[in-house]
Amino acid sequence: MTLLKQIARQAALQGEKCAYRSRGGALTYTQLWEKAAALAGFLAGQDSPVLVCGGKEPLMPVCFLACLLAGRPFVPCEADAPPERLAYIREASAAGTILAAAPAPPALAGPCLAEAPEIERLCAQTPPIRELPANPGRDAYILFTSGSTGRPKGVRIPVSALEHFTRWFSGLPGCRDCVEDTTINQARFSFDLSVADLWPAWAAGGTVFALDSTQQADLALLYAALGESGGARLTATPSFLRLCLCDAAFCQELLPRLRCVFLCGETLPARTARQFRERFPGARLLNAYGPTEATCAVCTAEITGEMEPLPVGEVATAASELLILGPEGEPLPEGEPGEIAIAGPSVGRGYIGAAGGGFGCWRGRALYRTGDRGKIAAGRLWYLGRIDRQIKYKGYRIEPGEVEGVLSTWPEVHAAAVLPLRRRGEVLGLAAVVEWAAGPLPPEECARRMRASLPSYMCPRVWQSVSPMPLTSNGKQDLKKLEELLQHE
Amino acid sequence: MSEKELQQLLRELLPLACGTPDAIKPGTDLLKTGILDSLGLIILLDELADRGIEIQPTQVELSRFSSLEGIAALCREALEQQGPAGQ
Repeated sequence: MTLLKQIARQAALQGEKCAYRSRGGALTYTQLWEKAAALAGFLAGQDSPVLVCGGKEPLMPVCFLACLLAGRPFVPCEADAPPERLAYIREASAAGTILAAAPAPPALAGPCLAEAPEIERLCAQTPPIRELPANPGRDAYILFTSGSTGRPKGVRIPVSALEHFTRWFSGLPGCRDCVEDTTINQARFSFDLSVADLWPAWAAGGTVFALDSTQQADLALLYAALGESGGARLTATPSFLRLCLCDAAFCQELLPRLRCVFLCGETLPARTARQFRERFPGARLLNAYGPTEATCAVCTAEITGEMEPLPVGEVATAASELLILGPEGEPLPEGEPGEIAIAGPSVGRGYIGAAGGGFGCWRGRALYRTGDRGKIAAGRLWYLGRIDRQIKYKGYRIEPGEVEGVLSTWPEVHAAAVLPLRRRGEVLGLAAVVEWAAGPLPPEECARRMRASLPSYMCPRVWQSVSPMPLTSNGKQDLKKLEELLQHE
Repeated sequence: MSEKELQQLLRELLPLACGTPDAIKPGTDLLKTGILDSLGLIILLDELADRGIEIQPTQVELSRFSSLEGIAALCREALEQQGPAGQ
Protein backbone atom coordinates (compact mmCIF):
# COMPACT_ATOMS: atom_id res chain seq x y z
CA MET A 1 0.00 0.00 0.00
CA THR A 2 1.37 3.45 -0.83
CA LEU A 3 2.26 5.85 1.95
CA LEU A 4 -0.56 8.23 1.02
CA LYS A 5 -3.11 5.40 1.06
CA GLN A 6 -1.84 4.37 4.49
CA ILE A 7 -2.23 7.91 5.80
CA ALA A 8 -5.68 8.19 4.21
CA ARG A 9 -6.69 4.98 5.96
CA GLN A 10 -5.35 6.23 9.30
CA ALA A 11 -7.22 9.52 8.81
CA ALA A 12 -10.44 7.53 8.39
CA LEU A 13 -9.71 5.14 11.27
CA GLN A 14 -8.24 7.53 13.83
CA GLY A 15 -10.54 10.52 13.21
CA GLU A 16 -10.27 12.59 16.37
CA LYS A 17 -6.96 11.12 17.53
CA CYS A 18 -4.14 13.66 17.66
CA ALA A 19 -1.82 13.44 14.63
CA TYR A 20 0.48 16.34 15.48
CA ARG A 21 1.04 18.59 18.46
CA SER A 22 3.42 21.45 19.16
CA ARG A 23 3.28 24.65 21.22
CA GLY A 24 1.60 26.22 18.18
CA GLY A 25 -1.44 23.93 18.47
CA ALA A 26 -2.67 20.46 17.64
CA LEU A 27 -4.21 18.63 14.68
CA THR A 28 -6.47 15.61 14.71
CA TYR A 29 -6.16 13.05 11.93
CA THR A 30 -9.37 14.40 10.38
CA GLN A 31 -8.04 17.96 10.44
CA LEU A 32 -4.65 16.96 9.06
CA TRP A 33 -6.19 15.09 6.16
CA GLU A 34 -8.96 17.54 5.33
CA LYS A 35 -6.69 20.58 5.43
CA ALA A 36 -3.95 18.86 3.41
CA ALA A 37 -6.40 17.54 0.81
CA ALA A 38 -7.89 21.03 0.33
CA LEU A 39 -4.48 22.70 0.13
CA ALA A 40 -3.44 20.01 -2.36
CA GLY A 41 -6.46 21.03 -4.46
CA PHE A 42 -4.90 24.49 -4.66
CA LEU A 43 -1.36 23.18 -5.35
CA ALA A 44 -2.31 20.61 -8.00
CA GLY A 45 -1.94 21.39 -11.67
CA GLN A 46 1.71 22.49 -11.47
CA ASP A 47 4.72 20.32 -10.83
CA SER A 48 7.32 22.84 -9.64
CA PRO A 49 8.66 22.43 -6.08
CA VAL A 50 6.92 24.15 -3.16
CA LEU A 51 9.08 25.98 -0.65
CA VAL A 52 7.59 25.39 2.83
CA CYS A 53 8.90 27.81 5.41
CA GLY A 54 8.40 27.85 9.17
CA GLY A 55 9.23 26.15 12.44
CA LYS A 56 7.03 23.61 14.24
CA GLU A 57 3.64 25.26 13.58
CA PRO A 58 0.88 22.67 12.89
CA LEU A 59 0.51 24.17 9.40
CA MET A 60 3.98 22.86 8.49
CA PRO A 61 3.05 19.16 8.41
CA VAL A 62 -0.23 20.09 6.67
CA CYS A 63 1.84 21.75 3.91
CA PHE A 64 4.17 18.74 3.58
CA LEU A 65 1.28 16.30 3.26
CA ALA A 66 -0.51 18.64 0.83
CA CYS A 67 2.57 18.72 -1.41
CA LEU A 68 2.79 14.91 -1.43
CA LEU A 69 -0.93 14.74 -2.27
CA ALA A 70 -0.53 17.28 -5.07
CA GLY A 71 2.48 15.45 -6.51
CA ARG A 72 4.81 18.41 -5.96
CA PRO A 73 8.11 18.15 -4.07
CA PHE A 74 8.37 20.19 -0.88
CA VAL A 75 11.49 22.14 0.06
CA PRO A 76 11.50 22.66 3.83
CA CYS A 77 13.32 25.70 5.19
CA GLU A 78 13.42 27.72 8.38
CA ALA A 79 11.91 31.21 8.67
CA ASP A 80 14.97 32.29 10.66
CA ALA A 81 17.45 31.07 8.03
CA PRO A 82 19.86 33.75 6.74
CA PRO A 83 18.20 35.88 4.02
CA GLU A 84 20.91 35.19 1.43
CA ARG A 85 20.55 31.46 1.93
CA LEU A 86 16.76 31.58 1.66
CA ALA A 87 17.02 33.63 -1.54
CA TYR A 88 19.48 31.12 -2.96
CA ILE A 89 17.33 28.08 -2.05
CA ARG A 90 14.29 29.76 -3.58
CA GLU A 91 16.13 30.40 -6.83
CA ALA A 92 18.03 27.10 -7.03
CA SER A 93 14.95 24.98 -6.32
CA ALA A 94 12.89 26.96 -8.87
CA ALA A 95 10.00 26.85 -6.40
CA GLY A 96 6.74 27.90 -8.06
CA THR A 97 4.85 28.34 -4.78
CA ILE A 98 5.96 29.42 -1.32
CA LEU A 99 3.93 28.43 1.73
CA ALA A 100 4.94 30.21 4.94
CA ALA A 101 3.51 28.85 8.19
CA ALA A 102 5.46 31.50 10.12
CA PRO A 103 5.65 35.20 9.08
CA ALA A 104 7.71 35.13 5.87
CA PRO A 105 11.04 36.92 5.77
CA PRO A 106 11.45 39.57 3.00
CA ALA A 107 13.65 37.17 0.97
CA LEU A 108 10.50 35.13 0.22
CA ALA A 109 8.18 38.01 -0.69
CA GLY A 110 6.45 37.94 -4.06
CA PRO A 111 3.27 36.92 -5.87
CA CYS A 112 3.74 33.16 -5.33
CA LEU A 113 3.89 33.51 -1.52
CA ALA A 114 1.00 32.41 0.70
CA GLU A 115 1.32 33.14 4.42
CA ALA A 116 -0.52 31.44 7.29
CA PRO A 117 -3.89 33.28 7.07
CA GLU A 118 -4.03 32.68 3.32
CA ILE A 119 -3.05 29.00 3.75
CA GLU A 120 -5.79 28.59 6.37
CA ARG A 121 -8.29 30.19 3.98
CA LEU A 122 -7.20 27.80 1.20
CA CYS A 123 -7.50 24.84 3.59
CA ALA A 124 -11.05 25.89 4.46
CA GLN A 125 -12.33 26.88 1.04
CA THR A 126 -10.63 24.90 -1.73
CA PRO A 127 -12.33 21.74 -3.03
CA PRO A 128 -10.15 18.80 -1.93
CA ILE A 129 -7.99 16.87 -4.34
CA ARG A 130 -9.84 13.78 -5.64
CA GLU A 131 -7.17 11.43 -6.89
CA LEU A 132 -3.96 10.38 -5.22
CA PRO A 133 -0.96 10.92 -7.50
CA ALA A 134 0.74 7.93 -9.10
CA ASN A 135 4.39 7.80 -10.23
CA PRO A 136 6.45 6.88 -7.15
CA GLY A 137 9.54 8.07 -9.05
CA ARG A 138 8.54 11.72 -8.63
CA ASP A 139 10.41 13.80 -6.05
CA ALA A 140 8.86 13.78 -2.57
CA TYR A 141 11.13 16.45 -1.13
CA ILE A 142 14.28 18.42 -1.83
CA LEU A 143 16.56 19.04 1.08
CA PHE A 144 19.37 21.57 1.01
CA THR A 145 22.61 20.51 2.64
CA SER A 146 26.03 22.14 2.84
CA GLY A 147 27.97 22.14 -0.45
CA SER A 148 31.75 22.02 -0.79
CA THR A 149 31.74 24.38 -3.77
CA GLY A 150 30.50 27.33 -1.75
CA ARG A 151 26.73 26.94 -2.12
CA PRO A 152 24.20 24.62 -0.47
CA LYS A 153 23.06 21.76 -2.68
CA GLY A 154 19.54 20.38 -3.00
CA VAL A 155 19.21 16.60 -2.55
CA ARG A 156 16.25 15.05 -4.43
CA ILE A 157 14.47 12.23 -2.63
CA PRO A 158 11.76 10.37 -4.59
CA VAL A 159 8.49 9.14 -3.09
CA SER A 160 9.68 5.54 -3.61
CA ALA A 161 12.69 6.15 -1.31
CA LEU A 162 10.51 7.85 1.31
CA GLU A 163 8.09 4.91 1.22
CA HIS A 164 10.94 2.42 1.43
CA PHE A 165 12.39 4.28 4.43
CA THR A 166 9.00 4.40 6.17
CA ARG A 167 8.45 0.66 5.76
CA TRP A 168 11.99 -0.17 6.91
CA PHE A 169 11.85 2.13 9.93
CA SER A 170 8.41 0.94 11.01
CA GLY A 171 9.64 -2.66 11.05
CA LEU A 172 12.75 -2.07 13.14
CA PRO A 173 12.84 -3.89 16.46
CA GLY A 174 12.21 -1.19 19.02
CA CYS A 175 10.35 1.09 16.61
CA ARG A 176 7.82 -1.56 15.60
CA ASP A 177 6.27 -1.64 19.08
CA CYS A 178 5.75 2.09 19.37
CA VAL A 179 5.04 3.64 15.94
CA GLU A 180 1.33 3.80 16.83
CA ASP A 181 2.14 5.63 20.04
CA THR A 182 3.52 9.17 20.54
CA THR A 183 6.85 10.07 18.96
CA ILE A 184 8.84 13.06 20.19
CA ASN A 185 10.30 15.14 17.37
CA GLN A 186 13.45 17.18 18.00
CA ALA A 187 14.85 17.80 14.50
CA ARG A 188 13.93 20.89 12.52
CA PHE A 189 11.98 20.07 9.39
CA SER A 190 14.86 21.34 7.25
CA PHE A 191 16.93 18.50 8.75
CA ASP A 192 15.99 15.11 7.30
CA LEU A 193 16.09 13.35 10.67
CA SER A 194 12.52 14.70 10.98
CA VAL A 195 11.52 12.30 8.15
CA ALA A 196 11.77 9.51 10.76
CA ASP A 197 9.16 11.29 12.90
CA LEU A 198 6.34 12.36 10.60
CA TRP A 199 5.87 9.61 8.02
CA PRO A 200 6.26 6.41 10.08
CA ALA A 201 3.99 7.92 12.76
CA TRP A 202 1.23 8.85 10.32
CA ALA A 203 1.47 5.62 8.37
CA ALA A 204 0.74 3.79 11.65
CA GLY A 205 -1.77 6.20 13.20
CA GLY A 206 0.63 7.58 15.80
CA THR A 207 1.01 11.07 17.26
CA VAL A 208 3.93 13.42 16.60
CA PHE A 209 4.84 15.66 19.55
CA ALA A 210 7.18 18.36 18.20
CA LEU A 211 9.64 20.38 20.29
CA ASP A 212 10.36 23.91 18.99
CA SER A 213 13.68 25.76 19.20
CA THR A 214 12.63 27.84 22.25
CA GLN A 215 11.82 24.67 24.20
CA GLN A 216 15.12 23.11 23.17
CA ALA A 217 17.14 26.16 24.28
CA ASP A 218 15.80 26.17 27.87
CA LEU A 219 16.21 23.04 29.96
CA ALA A 220 13.32 23.87 32.30
CA LEU A 221 10.93 24.33 29.35
CA LEU A 222 12.36 21.24 27.67
CA TYR A 223 11.83 18.93 30.63
CA ALA A 224 8.33 20.35 31.19
CA ALA A 225 7.46 19.63 27.55
CA LEU A 226 8.97 16.13 27.66
CA GLY A 227 7.04 15.45 30.85
CA GLU A 228 3.69 16.24 29.22
CA SER A 229 4.51 14.58 25.89
CA GLY A 230 3.57 11.03 26.87
CA GLY A 231 6.29 10.07 24.37
CA ALA A 232 7.06 6.40 23.69
CA ARG A 233 9.74 7.11 21.08
CA LEU A 234 12.31 9.88 20.72
CA THR A 235 14.16 10.61 17.49
CA ALA A 236 17.16 12.83 18.09
CA THR A 237 20.78 13.65 17.44
CA PRO A 238 23.25 12.30 20.00
CA SER A 239 24.01 15.95 20.94
CA PHE A 240 20.38 16.48 21.88
CA LEU A 241 20.24 13.30 23.98
CA ARG A 242 23.41 14.47 25.69
CA LEU A 243 21.82 17.85 26.42
CA CYS A 244 18.77 16.09 27.91
CA LEU A 245 21.01 13.89 30.06
CA CYS A 246 22.98 16.79 31.56
CA ASP A 247 20.45 17.08 34.39
CA ALA A 248 19.28 14.21 36.59
CA ALA A 249 15.68 15.35 35.92
CA PHE A 250 15.83 13.50 32.58
CA CYS A 251 14.98 9.98 33.66
CA GLN A 252 12.34 7.24 33.35
CA GLU A 253 10.05 9.04 35.85
CA LEU A 254 9.91 12.06 33.52
CA LEU A 255 9.10 9.86 30.50
CA PRO A 256 7.54 6.71 31.96
CA ARG A 257 6.31 5.49 28.55
CA LEU A 258 9.59 5.98 26.66
CA ARG A 259 10.55 2.66 25.05
CA CYS A 260 12.83 3.58 22.16
CA VAL A 261 15.35 6.26 21.25
CA PHE A 262 16.48 6.45 17.63
CA LEU A 263 19.72 8.42 17.22
CA CYS A 264 21.24 9.55 13.94
CA GLY A 265 23.24 12.38 12.43
CA GLU A 266 26.59 12.18 14.22
CA THR A 267 28.82 9.99 16.35
CA LEU A 268 27.21 8.71 19.55
CA PRO A 269 29.65 9.02 22.46
CA ALA A 270 29.87 5.82 24.55
CA ARG A 271 29.37 7.91 27.70
CA THR A 272 26.01 9.20 26.42
CA ALA A 273 24.88 5.65 25.59
CA ARG A 274 25.90 4.43 29.06
CA GLN A 275 24.19 7.31 30.87
CA PHE A 276 21.01 6.78 28.88
CA ARG A 277 20.88 3.09 29.65
CA GLU A 278 21.40 3.77 33.35
CA ARG A 279 18.58 6.33 33.45
CA PHE A 280 16.20 4.42 31.17
CA PRO A 281 16.73 0.74 31.87
CA GLY A 282 13.43 -0.13 30.17
CA ALA A 283 14.11 1.60 26.84
CA ARG A 284 15.96 0.49 23.72
CA LEU A 285 18.72 2.61 22.20
CA LEU A 286 19.18 2.51 18.42
CA ASN A 287 22.28 4.08 16.89
CA ALA A 288 21.64 4.74 13.21
CA TYR A 289 23.61 5.82 10.19
CA GLY A 290 22.72 7.37 6.86
CA PRO A 291 23.30 10.47 4.74
CA THR A 292 20.56 12.83 3.52
CA GLU A 293 21.28 11.48 0.00
CA ALA A 294 20.01 8.04 1.07
CA THR A 295 16.82 9.15 2.87
CA CYS A 296 17.56 9.84 6.52
CA ALA A 297 19.03 6.52 7.67
CA VAL A 298 19.89 3.15 6.14
CA CYS A 299 21.04 1.02 9.05
CA THR A 300 20.86 0.83 12.80
CA ALA A 301 22.48 -1.06 15.65
CA GLU A 302 20.90 -1.60 19.04
CA ILE A 303 23.33 -0.51 21.75
CA THR A 304 23.15 -3.01 24.56
CA GLY A 305 26.25 -3.88 26.55
CA GLU A 306 29.63 -2.31 26.84
CA MET A 307 30.82 -2.03 23.27
CA GLU A 308 33.34 0.56 22.15
CA PRO A 309 33.60 2.10 19.69
CA LEU A 310 29.88 1.93 19.08
CA PRO A 311 28.69 0.39 15.79
CA VAL A 312 26.36 2.46 13.60
CA GLY A 313 24.44 -0.36 11.99
CA GLU A 314 23.74 -4.01 11.31
CA VAL A 315 24.41 -5.09 7.74
CA ALA A 316 21.71 -7.77 7.64
CA THR A 317 18.85 -5.43 8.56
CA ALA A 318 20.01 -2.41 6.51
CA ALA A 319 17.45 -0.63 4.30
CA SER A 320 19.83 -0.86 1.33
CA GLU A 321 23.05 -2.72 0.62
CA LEU A 322 26.09 -1.40 2.52
CA LEU A 323 29.43 -1.52 0.73
CA ILE A 324 32.96 -0.58 1.64
CA LEU A 325 34.80 0.63 -1.45
CA GLY A 326 38.48 1.15 -2.21
CA PRO A 327 39.96 4.19 -3.97
CA GLU A 328 39.08 2.80 -7.43
CA GLY A 329 35.50 2.01 -6.40
CA GLU A 330 36.26 -1.68 -5.89
CA PRO A 331 34.49 -3.50 -3.03
CA LEU A 332 36.86 -4.28 -0.15
CA PRO A 333 36.86 -7.48 1.91
CA GLU A 334 35.31 -7.59 5.39
CA GLY A 335 37.29 -5.77 8.05
CA GLU A 336 39.16 -3.49 5.68
CA PRO A 337 38.48 0.24 6.05
CA GLY A 338 37.34 2.19 3.00
CA GLU A 339 34.60 4.50 1.78
CA ILE A 340 31.06 3.66 2.88
CA ALA A 341 28.70 3.37 -0.09
CA ILE A 342 24.98 2.59 -0.23
CA ALA A 343 23.24 0.78 -3.08
CA GLY A 344 19.51 0.28 -3.44
CA PRO A 345 16.07 1.85 -3.03
CA SER A 346 17.16 4.30 -0.28
CA VAL A 347 19.37 6.27 -2.66
CA GLY A 348 18.00 9.62 -3.88
CA ARG A 349 17.90 11.04 -7.40
CA GLY A 350 20.97 13.29 -7.20
CA TYR A 351 21.31 17.02 -6.68
CA ILE A 352 19.25 19.66 -8.41
CA GLY A 353 21.02 21.36 -11.24
CA ALA A 354 24.39 19.92 -10.30
CA ALA A 355 26.74 17.18 -11.41
CA GLY A 356 26.57 13.66 -9.99
CA GLY A 357 28.60 14.17 -6.80
CA GLY A 358 28.75 10.80 -5.04
CA PHE A 359 25.78 9.40 -7.01
CA GLY A 360 26.29 6.53 -9.44
CA CYS A 361 25.20 3.04 -10.32
CA TRP A 362 26.05 -0.37 -8.84
CA ARG A 363 24.93 -3.58 -10.55
CA GLY A 364 21.87 -1.87 -11.96
CA ARG A 365 20.91 -0.16 -8.73
CA ALA A 366 21.32 3.43 -7.60
CA LEU A 367 24.56 3.97 -5.65
CA TYR A 368 25.70 6.75 -3.36
CA ARG A 369 29.31 7.07 -2.22
CA THR A 370 29.10 8.86 1.09
CA GLY A 371 32.61 10.24 1.54
CA ASP A 372 32.52 8.63 5.01
CA ARG A 373 35.23 6.16 6.01
CA GLY A 374 34.07 2.97 7.60
CA LYS A 375 34.48 -0.75 7.93
CA ILE A 376 32.23 -3.76 8.13
CA ALA A 377 33.15 -6.49 10.57
CA ALA A 378 31.12 -9.25 12.24
CA GLY A 379 28.01 -8.07 10.40
CA ARG A 380 28.23 -4.54 11.75
CA LEU A 381 29.18 -1.18 10.28
CA TRP A 382 31.59 1.20 12.03
CA TYR A 383 32.06 4.86 11.11
CA LEU A 384 35.68 5.97 11.05
CA GLY A 385 35.56 9.64 10.02
CA ARG A 386 35.58 11.50 6.72
CA ILE A 387 37.58 11.04 3.55
CA ASP A 388 37.31 14.74 2.72
CA ARG A 389 37.11 17.90 4.86
CA GLN A 390 33.40 17.68 5.71
CA ILE A 391 32.67 18.46 9.36
CA LYS A 392 29.84 17.18 11.56
CA TYR A 393 28.86 19.67 14.24
CA LYS A 394 25.80 19.20 16.49
CA GLY A 395 24.40 16.80 13.89
CA TYR A 396 24.75 19.33 11.06
CA ARG A 397 26.87 18.65 8.03
CA ILE A 398 29.24 21.46 7.17
CA GLU A 399 31.48 21.77 4.13
CA PRO A 400 34.30 24.17 5.07
CA GLY A 401 34.37 25.12 1.38
CA GLU A 402 30.92 26.69 1.70
CA VAL A 403 32.03 28.95 4.57
CA GLU A 404 35.30 29.74 2.74
CA GLY A 405 33.19 30.59 -0.32
CA VAL A 406 31.38 33.29 1.69
CA LEU A 407 34.66 34.66 3.05
CA SER A 408 36.16 34.83 -0.42
CA THR A 409 33.50 37.37 -1.43
CA TRP A 410 34.68 39.85 1.21
CA PRO A 411 37.07 42.43 -0.34
CA GLU A 412 39.02 42.63 2.95
CA VAL A 413 39.95 38.92 2.77
CA HIS A 414 43.04 37.91 0.85
CA ALA A 415 42.86 34.18 1.69
CA ALA A 416 40.83 32.17 4.19
CA ALA A 417 40.60 28.62 5.52
CA VAL A 418 37.88 27.21 7.76
CA LEU A 419 38.75 24.43 10.20
CA PRO A 420 37.02 22.58 13.01
CA LEU A 421 37.78 23.45 16.62
CA ARG A 422 38.34 20.11 18.30
CA ARG A 423 38.58 18.70 21.77
CA ARG A 424 39.66 15.06 21.91
CA GLY A 425 38.38 14.55 18.40
CA GLU A 426 34.99 16.14 19.10
CA VAL A 427 34.03 19.22 17.05
CA LEU A 428 33.20 22.27 19.16
CA GLY A 429 32.61 24.70 16.31
CA LEU A 430 34.49 26.36 13.48
CA ALA A 431 37.54 28.59 13.31
CA ALA A 432 38.30 30.91 10.40
CA VAL A 433 41.98 31.51 9.69
CA VAL A 434 42.27 34.63 7.55
CA GLU A 435 45.02 36.40 5.73
CA TRP A 436 43.64 39.95 5.56
CA ALA A 437 44.30 42.24 2.60
CA ALA A 438 44.96 45.10 5.04
CA GLY A 439 44.12 45.01 8.78
CA PRO A 440 41.68 42.47 10.29
CA LEU A 441 37.98 43.31 10.55
CA PRO A 442 36.62 43.42 14.13
CA PRO A 443 35.19 40.00 15.14
CA GLU A 444 31.73 41.57 15.69
CA GLU A 445 31.67 42.77 12.07
CA CYS A 446 32.78 39.31 10.87
CA ALA A 447 29.99 37.69 12.90
CA ARG A 448 27.36 40.15 11.60
CA ARG A 449 28.29 39.49 7.97
CA MET A 450 28.43 35.73 8.49
CA ARG A 451 24.94 35.66 10.01
CA ALA A 452 23.52 37.32 6.89
CA SER A 453 24.83 34.46 4.74
CA LEU A 454 24.99 31.30 6.84
CA PRO A 455 23.03 29.53 9.58
CA SER A 456 24.46 30.04 13.07
CA TYR A 457 26.01 26.55 13.27
CA MET A 458 28.14 27.42 10.20
CA CYS A 459 29.42 30.76 11.54
CA PRO A 460 33.02 30.58 12.82
CA ARG A 461 33.37 31.11 16.57
CA VAL A 462 37.08 31.87 16.47
CA TRP A 463 38.83 34.31 14.10
CA GLN A 464 42.57 33.90 13.70
CA SER A 465 44.77 36.15 11.54
CA VAL A 466 47.78 34.79 9.64
CA SER A 467 50.28 36.47 7.34
CA PRO A 468 51.03 34.92 4.99
CA MET A 469 48.69 31.91 4.66
CA PRO A 470 50.89 28.81 5.05
CA LEU A 471 51.01 26.75 1.86
CA THR A 472 52.13 23.21 1.06
CA SER A 473 54.85 22.52 -1.53
CA ASN A 474 52.22 22.24 -4.25
CA GLY A 475 50.72 25.61 -3.40
CA LYS A 476 47.60 24.49 -1.48
CA GLN A 477 46.65 25.78 1.95
CA ASP A 478 48.57 23.79 4.54
CA LEU A 479 45.61 22.60 6.62
CA LYS A 480 47.75 20.49 8.92
CA LYS A 481 49.88 23.49 9.85
CA LEU A 482 46.74 25.59 10.35
CA GLU A 483 45.23 22.97 12.70
CA GLU A 484 48.45 23.00 14.71
CA LEU A 485 48.37 26.78 14.82
CA LEU A 486 44.83 26.70 16.25
CA GLN A 487 45.70 24.06 18.81
CA HIS A 488 48.61 26.11 20.11
CA GLU A 489 46.66 29.32 20.43
CA MET B 1 39.65 21.08 46.67
CA SER B 2 41.20 24.44 47.53
CA GLU B 3 40.02 27.68 45.95
CA LYS B 4 43.27 27.87 44.02
CA GLU B 5 42.88 24.32 42.69
CA LEU B 6 39.30 25.03 41.65
CA GLN B 7 40.30 28.21 39.79
CA GLN B 8 43.13 26.33 38.09
CA LEU B 9 40.77 23.50 37.08
CA LEU B 10 38.28 25.93 35.52
CA ARG B 11 41.05 27.78 33.70
CA GLU B 12 41.91 24.44 32.09
CA LEU B 13 38.36 23.20 31.48
CA LEU B 14 36.68 26.32 30.10
CA PRO B 15 38.93 26.76 27.02
CA LEU B 16 38.63 23.00 26.44
CA ALA B 17 34.83 23.01 26.65
CA CYS B 18 34.40 26.23 24.65
CA GLY B 19 37.07 25.50 22.05
CA THR B 20 38.67 28.92 22.49
CA PRO B 21 41.14 30.54 24.91
CA ASP B 22 38.81 33.59 24.91
CA ALA B 23 36.76 31.66 27.49
CA ILE B 24 39.12 32.77 30.27
CA LYS B 25 39.72 36.35 29.12
CA PRO B 26 38.93 38.59 32.11
CA GLY B 27 35.55 40.30 31.91
CA THR B 28 34.16 38.00 29.17
CA ASP B 29 30.45 37.21 29.46
CA LEU B 30 30.50 33.55 28.40
CA LEU B 31 26.77 33.40 27.65
CA LYS B 32 26.20 36.76 25.93
CA THR B 33 29.19 36.23 23.63
CA GLY B 34 28.02 32.70 22.83
CA ILE B 35 31.44 31.37 23.82
CA LEU B 36 29.79 28.89 26.17
CA ASP B 37 27.00 27.39 24.03
CA SER B 38 24.85 24.35 24.80
CA LEU B 39 27.50 21.86 23.62
CA GLY B 40 30.20 23.68 25.63
CA LEU B 41 27.97 23.59 28.71
CA ILE B 42 27.41 19.84 28.35
CA ILE B 43 31.15 19.21 28.00
CA LEU B 44 31.91 21.41 30.99
CA LEU B 45 29.31 19.60 33.14
CA ASP B 46 30.65 16.19 32.02
CA GLU B 47 34.22 17.16 32.85
CA LEU B 48 33.20 18.51 36.25
CA ALA B 49 31.15 15.37 36.98
CA ASP B 50 34.25 13.27 36.17
CA ARG B 51 35.99 15.18 38.95
CA GLY B 52 33.20 14.62 41.46
CA ILE B 53 31.46 17.99 41.01
CA GLU B 54 27.83 17.43 40.02
CA ILE B 55 25.88 20.54 39.06
CA GLN B 56 22.22 20.10 38.06
CA PRO B 57 21.65 22.94 35.59
CA THR B 58 17.89 23.13 36.18
CA GLN B 59 18.49 23.73 39.89
CA VAL B 60 20.51 26.92 39.36
CA GLU B 61 20.17 30.24 37.50
CA LEU B 62 21.64 29.88 34.02
CA SER B 63 23.17 33.39 34.31
CA ARG B 64 25.61 32.02 36.89
CA PHE B 65 27.44 30.25 34.05
CA SER B 66 28.34 33.60 32.46
CA SER B 67 31.74 33.94 34.17
CA LEU B 68 34.53 31.80 35.58
CA GLU B 69 33.82 33.25 39.03
CA GLY B 70 30.13 32.35 38.78
CA ILE B 71 30.94 28.78 37.74
CA ALA B 72 33.51 28.51 40.56
CA ALA B 73 30.81 29.50 43.05
CA LEU B 74 28.46 26.85 41.63
CA CYS B 75 31.20 24.25 41.98
CA ARG B 76 31.81 25.21 45.60
CA GLU B 77 28.10 24.92 46.38
CA ALA B 78 27.91 21.54 44.66
CA LEU B 79 30.92 20.28 46.61
CA GLU B 80 29.46 21.52 49.90
CA GLN B 81 26.11 19.84 49.17
CA GLN B 82 27.76 16.58 48.23
CA GLY B 83 29.74 16.60 51.47
CA PRO B 84 33.23 15.17 52.02
CA ALA B 85 32.49 12.06 49.92
CA GLY B 86 32.03 14.25 46.85
CA GLN B 87 35.44 15.77 47.29
